[in-house]
Amino acid sequence: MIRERSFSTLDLNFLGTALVIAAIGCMLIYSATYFSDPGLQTLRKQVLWVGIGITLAMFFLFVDYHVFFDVAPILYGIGVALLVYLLVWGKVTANVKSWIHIGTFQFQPSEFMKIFTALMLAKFFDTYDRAYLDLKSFLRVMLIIGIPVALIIVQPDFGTAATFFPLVAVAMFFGGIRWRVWVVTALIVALLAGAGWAFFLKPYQKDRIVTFLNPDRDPLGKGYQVTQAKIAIGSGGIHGKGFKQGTQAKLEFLPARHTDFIFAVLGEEWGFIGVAIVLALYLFLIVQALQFAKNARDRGGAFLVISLISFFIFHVLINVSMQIGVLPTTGIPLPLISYGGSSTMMFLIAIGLMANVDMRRFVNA
Amino acid sequence: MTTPQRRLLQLFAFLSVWTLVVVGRLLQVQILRHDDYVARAQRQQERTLTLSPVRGSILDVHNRVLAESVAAESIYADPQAIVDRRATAKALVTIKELGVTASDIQEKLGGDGGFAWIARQVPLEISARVRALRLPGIYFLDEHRRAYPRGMLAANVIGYVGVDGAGLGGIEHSYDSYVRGRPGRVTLLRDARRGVYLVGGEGANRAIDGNHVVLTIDAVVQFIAERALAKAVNRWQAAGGSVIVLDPSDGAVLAMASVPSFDPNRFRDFPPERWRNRNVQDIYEPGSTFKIVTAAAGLEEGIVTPSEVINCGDGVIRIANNDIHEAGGSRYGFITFEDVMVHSSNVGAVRVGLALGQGRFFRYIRRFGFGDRTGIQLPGETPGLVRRTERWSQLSNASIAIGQEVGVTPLQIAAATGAVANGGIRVVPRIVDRVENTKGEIVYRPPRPEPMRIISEKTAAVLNEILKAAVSRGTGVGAGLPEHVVAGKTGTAQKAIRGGYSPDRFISSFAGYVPADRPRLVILVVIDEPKDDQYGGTVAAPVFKDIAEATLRYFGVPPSIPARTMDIGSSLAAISQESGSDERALSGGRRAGVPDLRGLDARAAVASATAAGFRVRALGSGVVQSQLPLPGDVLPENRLLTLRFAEVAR
Repeated sequence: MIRERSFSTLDLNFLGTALVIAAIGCMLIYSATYFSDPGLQTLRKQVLWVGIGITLAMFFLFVDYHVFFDVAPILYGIGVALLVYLLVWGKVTANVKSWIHIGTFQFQPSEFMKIFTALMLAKFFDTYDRAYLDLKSFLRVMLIIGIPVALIIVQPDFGTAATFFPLVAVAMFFGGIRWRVWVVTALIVALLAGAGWAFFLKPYQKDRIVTFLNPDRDPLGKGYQVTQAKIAIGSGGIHGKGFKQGTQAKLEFLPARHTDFIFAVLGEEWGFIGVAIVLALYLFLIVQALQFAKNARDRGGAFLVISLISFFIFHVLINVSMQIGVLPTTGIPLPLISYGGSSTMMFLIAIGLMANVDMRRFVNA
Repeated sequence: MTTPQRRLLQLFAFLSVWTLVVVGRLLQVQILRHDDYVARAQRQQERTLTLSPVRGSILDVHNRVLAESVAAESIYADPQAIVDRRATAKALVTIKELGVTASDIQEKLGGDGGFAWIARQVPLEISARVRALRLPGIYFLDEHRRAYPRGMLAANVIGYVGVDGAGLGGIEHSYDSYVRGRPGRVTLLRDARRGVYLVGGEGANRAIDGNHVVLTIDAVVQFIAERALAKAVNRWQAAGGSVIVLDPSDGAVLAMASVPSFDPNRFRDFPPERWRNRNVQDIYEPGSTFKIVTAAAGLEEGIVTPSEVINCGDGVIRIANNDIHEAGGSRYGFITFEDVMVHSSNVGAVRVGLALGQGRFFRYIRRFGFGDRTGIQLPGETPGLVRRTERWSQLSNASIAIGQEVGVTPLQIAAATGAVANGGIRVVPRIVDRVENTKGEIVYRPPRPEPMRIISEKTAAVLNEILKAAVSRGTGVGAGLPEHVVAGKTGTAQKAIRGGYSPDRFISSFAGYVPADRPRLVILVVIDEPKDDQYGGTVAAPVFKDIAEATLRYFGVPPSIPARTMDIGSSLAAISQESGSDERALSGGRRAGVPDLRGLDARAAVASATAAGFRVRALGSGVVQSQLPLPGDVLPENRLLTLRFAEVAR
């Protein structure tokens, strides 16, 4: 009986929107790869991952989210263990140790770590009912976030580490921080940033930031990617060049066109109209999720939804900003659209968890 | 939970601002600066090349090729795709036919551009050797090269074509819009790895081949004319010369030669003045050939008759303080007007010119076409120089009467002579017969003006007799042919120089037609600055003879002067045989009804019949008693005329 009532409150529009976005992603991946990958291996894999992701999402949807609060420390522990494993035994792929290889498949523990960290924090806030975070709680929250971030920074995958930032923001706003703490935090961040620039940032990362500040200075060098993405998006215009008609992509001027820069393919082929539609779909997801958070039955559920949707917001904003020169280039995928198994599965699991919270919004359900 | 919610609102407000920035930026990039980005995309992705269409051929009247386009390849480079520029340049230089030097190529490859021509329109066998070098970054494009298989033949008429396919001279220029076709466009797409794809070049982008221009020029006549002219220019060490052969019946220019000439296959190796077509581009003072106009006007206006006696005095006439002398210091005294023309008396001609008066004389000059372009559709044709009577001096009437103070083109003199040959009907020279498309359909035929009478038939006939006499017993005797009656007029003009006339630089000319009573050919010969001798009768008339003889033989025109001791029977057979073999040459001729040959003797009948384009079947001997078809009937399909002869009892 209980299960049936839960199903009746399941938000199918929310899930449907996510699947539409994933389908658009597959179309764009097809359009960006069919000429260089006639066997469509890339597309097939993405479809497979969407399938696996949906299955995982089902699991994270139908099992009561409080169960995940209960096992959160275990999941978090596994995640941390995998990150440590990577540092010690991981293989270097594209300059970083981000992937764990299992047979022919590979996945990024850092993506799943986002979910586990969010669950861990949600579990904490579920029982935390004060107006402001005290120092001890603040440090605890920072530690929960800091451990995986530190492990990812040393991979070194600066971009993925940055994607944990929404958790910090959400935790601090959600939990509440006094202004003194804000100042201290800001100082520490500034200090860390300075130290990071001096000691930790790799030259290519510094290049990216410098290039961001002046991309046209060296159009065939470091600013090349952004310049090409802007040309693709700009030449798309209002209507775009049409499905499979993107010349920037097809002539291979556009880098990482099925992964980080897939938004440029969207802009080139589907124009501003296509861009607006996709952004509207994301906006619908976000508005829905905020509604979920408002209606959530407990603080933990609300925090979980907000932190998960903040991943979406953060990824979309950062990814789109980087294509049009608003932010420096970072390897941050476009949720559910960019090619990539780990991130696609992570975002589908997040969708499942958010719907889970909403489905169980009634206290007596 | 209201507190966290309120705090989160602040967070989402920040995110909303961010979102607005992103959307605003998207609007800027995709809509406001769309054109700029499209241009940037094209700049790095595309390069448009023009595909030359196959340029149409230029053919002579029997479809012999005078100019054609043959397949060739152009070689170009993408300097950015070349790995080793020095090695590439070195390798290309080994193929000498490309005519490139290593430093040339290195310079072309040196820039940061994505495109450079290496060699244009290279014969296929040479481009194949370049291809065999397998040089990266060197590409090939199908093109066409203009070829003139007959070399210098009719070069000044046909013209020449620049490397970009534009006709720069002659028919190539004036008929460029018909011959050139419509170019196709091909887009070179270049990818980020500097690979190159060719797209387009089909459908609406396809090149449309040019039309063929069929000239009235007959390559054989052209060859005859050029050979005779070149021989004379050589013989007299002349500065140059020109020849026009035209058919007076329809104005068709059969040959138009200009010396010195050039080879249009490599026109740049010749100085530009050789590219000129003297026949339409040069103005000269015609001298005595212009007396044809003076005589025509005087006869038509009744001022003079052939037998009228004119006082040519002691070889000089004084007009407005100027003495006009006879050529060579001759003194003719009282002679008939016919003899004025036969001996080319300046004094006699001046008297006629004076009697005509300004207005009438000017009218005839204009009526013969002087001062107007003939409209032949050759580039650079000049109308010549004919001053209006208000600007004539007291001397002008006299000067113009002997062909001075008037600037004409050779083509104008040829056309004026043609009008006399044509019985007084204006001859409008034409050199393009038709333009055909690649399927052989006629797309253009130059318009032909209505026939216009310039002088009466009677005047033309009288003038014809005078011009015949000028050849048979006058200055033009050197133009005479044994088998045909020639009519014509010599001309010997001093070249005008600053402040007067040169004592030792002449233009010698002869204008005439043949056979005089049924003209097939009008021929004008102009020799510029002959050495040793200057008289038109000595220098130019023999050239006329050479050309007329060879051309009439080529056309198979039967002799118009009967040899005195000819056996009728055998010559009859010879003539009918000959006429049979030259059907084609005759088919373009007159298409009048069947002439009345009854009562004529065998020779005259057969000559008339063949001249009218018939094949003759002769039965019997004597004079024509009956004929089939009957006189005035339409020309039968097989053009066979049966003549029945009978002996007439005396």
